[in-house]
Amino acid sequence: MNTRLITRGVAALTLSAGLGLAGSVAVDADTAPVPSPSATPATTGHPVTLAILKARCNAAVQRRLGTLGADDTFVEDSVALTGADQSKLEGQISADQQGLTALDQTIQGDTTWTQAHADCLLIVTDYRVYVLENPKIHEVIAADGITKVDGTFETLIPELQALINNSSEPPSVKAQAQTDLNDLTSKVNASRTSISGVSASVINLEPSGWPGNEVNLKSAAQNIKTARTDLEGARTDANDILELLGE
Amino acid sequence: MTHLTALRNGVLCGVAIVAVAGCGARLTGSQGSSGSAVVSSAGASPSAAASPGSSAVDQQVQNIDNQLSTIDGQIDAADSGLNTSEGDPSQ
Repeated sequence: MNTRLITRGVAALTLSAGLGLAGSVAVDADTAPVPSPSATPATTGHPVTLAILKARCNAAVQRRLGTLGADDTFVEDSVALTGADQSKLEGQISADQQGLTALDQTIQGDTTWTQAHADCLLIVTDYRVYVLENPKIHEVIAADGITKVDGTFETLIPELQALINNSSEPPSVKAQAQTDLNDLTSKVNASRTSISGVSASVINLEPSGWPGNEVNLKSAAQNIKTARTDLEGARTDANDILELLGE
Repeated sequence: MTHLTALRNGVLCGVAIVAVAGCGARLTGSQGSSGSAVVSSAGASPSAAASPGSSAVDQQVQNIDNQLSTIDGQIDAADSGLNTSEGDPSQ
């Protein structure tokens, strides 16, 4: 009887440990679809020791610092970002890096499991690196990039117009090229309309506003894609014009 | 003597043609490098010299392609984040 109870206990412990390990891979991965941490408070059972808890929290911080470091490289290297947006994003990334590093130090100094776990949750709730900061940064870079391409098209449009005006192709060909150029201009204008205000709508979003501000991120993403589609059409028009004119 | 004169004239003529062609090409290239000059001249005179060089247009199109490629990467990265959830780091 005792042997049976012990066997059941070992089996239960093994199952719990297995679930715990599986969870450690999935729940904090930056692509894993997992529930909010608020739904999984600490239990009095403490499934892991304080040392293991601290190690996991440290790993979570380091992963986020890695993501922020990569984002910072994108921001610094971007030729599309406006100066103001670039400066603001760099400031936000730097603040997150400093805050997470300080938080990690706090966690490593915690003397109780409960306090360490509470502080560990702040890695998510105070920063939202994966769900807010990271996509926000990429959206601002993309939106400013769309605006920059609109500007490049503004330079290209009169050049294409001159090519049409001065072309020795038959009038019917020039007329088709003009139709394409008109369509190109219309698409660039549509792109400009779609992207207007997008960067400003997301760049100041804060972790404290999550999850309410998620809708802003998704709306911005849709506007960026719409503008990008318009630019694809404009690019196709430009190619058609050049082919019609034998350029 | 007649043959030598004809030959010399032919060579000089050839040199002159090359020189004129070279000047024309240089003129067209320099005008093509300035977008604003092209715009202002296009409406005033539809002469061939006012047309932007196709290389200048090609450069603009290439710039657009490069920028669109970068934008696509950023859109993909943003989408990845929008499909992510953050769980309890201690688990």
